[in-house]
Amino acid sequence: MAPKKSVKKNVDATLEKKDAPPVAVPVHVTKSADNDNTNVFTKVLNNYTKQSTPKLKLIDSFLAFLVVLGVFQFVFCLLVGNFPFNAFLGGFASTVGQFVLTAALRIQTAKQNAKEFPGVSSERSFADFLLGSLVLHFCVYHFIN
Amino acid sequence: MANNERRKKNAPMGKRIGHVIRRGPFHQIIRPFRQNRNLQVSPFSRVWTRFEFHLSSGHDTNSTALHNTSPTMLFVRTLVLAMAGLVAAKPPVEARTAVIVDKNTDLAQYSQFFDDAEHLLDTVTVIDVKDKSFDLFTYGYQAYDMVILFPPQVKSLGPALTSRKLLEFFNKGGHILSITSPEHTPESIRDFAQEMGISMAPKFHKLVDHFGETGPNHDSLTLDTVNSVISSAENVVYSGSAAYLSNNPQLVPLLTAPSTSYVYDYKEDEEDEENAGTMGTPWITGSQGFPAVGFQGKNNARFAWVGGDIMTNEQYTAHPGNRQFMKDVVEWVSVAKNVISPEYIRHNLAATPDVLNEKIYKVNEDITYSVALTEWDNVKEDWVPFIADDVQIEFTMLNPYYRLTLEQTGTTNFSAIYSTTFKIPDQHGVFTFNLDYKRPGYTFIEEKTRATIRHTANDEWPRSWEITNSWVYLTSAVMVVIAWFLFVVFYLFVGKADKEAVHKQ
Repeated sequence: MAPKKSVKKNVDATLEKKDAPPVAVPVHVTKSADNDNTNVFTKVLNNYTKQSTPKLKLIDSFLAFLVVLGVFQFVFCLLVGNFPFNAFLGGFASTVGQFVLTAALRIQTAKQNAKEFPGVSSERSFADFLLGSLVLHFCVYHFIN
Repeated sequence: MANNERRKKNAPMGKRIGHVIRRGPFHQIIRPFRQNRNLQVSPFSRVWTRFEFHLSSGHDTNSTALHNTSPTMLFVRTLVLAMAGLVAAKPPVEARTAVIVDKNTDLAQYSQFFDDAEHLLDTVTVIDVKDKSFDLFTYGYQAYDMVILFPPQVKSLGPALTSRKLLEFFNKGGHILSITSPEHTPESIRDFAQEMGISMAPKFHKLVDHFGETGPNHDSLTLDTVNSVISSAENVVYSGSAAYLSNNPQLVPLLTAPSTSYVYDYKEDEEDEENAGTMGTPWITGSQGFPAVGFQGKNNARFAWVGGDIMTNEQYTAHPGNRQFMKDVVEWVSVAKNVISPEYIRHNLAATPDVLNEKIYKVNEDITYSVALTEWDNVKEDWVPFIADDVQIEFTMLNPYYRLTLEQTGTTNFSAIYSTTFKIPDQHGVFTFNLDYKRPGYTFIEEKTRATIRHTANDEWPRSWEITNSWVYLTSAVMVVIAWFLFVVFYLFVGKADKEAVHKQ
């Protein structure tokens, strides 16, 4: 889970860099001038809270929830044992799968990536997300038995 | 070519009397059944001697030493016999005994011996060895159930009692008691005993012991090494020959020579005047010698040999131990002693003791196997519980998955019930309950019962909500769906707000 998280942050960072030149350069400069002593993480956080749209924040909080849940299941499995292994696989796969689908949604709907997906509208990607999630949960519930 | 030649060479080998127990028809002790309890008859009537099954011909005769029948056939045969015993009243089979004597034998000398054996031997036919009309078989069937060979004084027993004939008789379930003397041991008896691993001392050899009270010639030994499984006699006064034995586990030593004794050639000793009194070179020394030996075939036919004439009235009067010993030996040989048999064999699920002998069980179930063992009591003339603590069962598919010692869990009127409960291994297939109870001196029991073990069916596994561990995973999966649903709702809402904002801008 950790690498994915870092990937996400990297994505955020690149996003910021990409959209930095047209809009946010002056803001960025003034901010950094104001808070010299704050570390890089605080800066990233600040930038994130200021620049992300609510939709992205919503997606990110959902992703964070999935990560926590997935890690919890994994740790539980390590500690208690994988006895109903199918149940563990089902529960864990539902968080991982949902994370992947949501991350895909995030990538496709972020404005910064609009050039990467010229033919994919945000409605289209949301519909894909819905369909994918439904299929995923259908499979998971059958697999858990 | 080479193969053909080898086959030709092997063909007579297979037919040769190489194995004591051979594949082919043999007799089976019928199981005791309650239906027959009230018949107060001699145990011989419980021994089915006329029932023969011919297995398919063309068996590989070379591999028959141990497995003289396939387990399936044995089981089927037992079953058929059991059914026959249940359905039809058994024909009254008498213990037909042939007593082989020669013209010098004075049967009056043995009157006490016959008195003791009277209740065991229903029909006694005294036959002279020279009788040319005598045959052990009529139309391929045995004409007698038991043969007693008295100490003969003739060189040969004639064509009716060759070692081959004796062996055939034994293999068909006949019992043989042979008494010889150091002066006279016919070749046919010697060869027959050799087949079983009993190597009798040559002619004119006798057992002597220079220690203890052994008479003026040191050849009248008091043996207290009586096999307690066979006889309750405390000691036997013995003068005669001895044999050494192979390591065949079917041999049952009845008497063992003392460690200070030996067997030597007294004839040579008598003739050799120069070295008179040195008693020659020993042929066997110490407790390697066995003056009396029993043998039980895998068909439970019995053979006993006594190397000296210790059963005359004279001997009996002088030594009561001899009388007791010979009485027990005759009881043993005539299958009236140490006869054990399973009354029934059952297996069932431990949870459902009333549902017996199901053909199919599931892996990992607890299963109970029980066998009721019964023993013929010749005094009571009835079957009594057989008590032992070493009855074992194997649960086998190719190799044993379990070898368990059964515990006595009860008795019926006639038998002791031994049972054990165990968990079927997590392995499906056709398993065998293999009861293999073979103790020296007792009837061999080998019963194979088959049961199919199936795997857990698709719909027999517990559902996930029945397992507490999976509640965690179930809950998280449900939480993901709920969160997802909320996310979708919020996403749509947030999206609208976002768009509105964009429009406003």
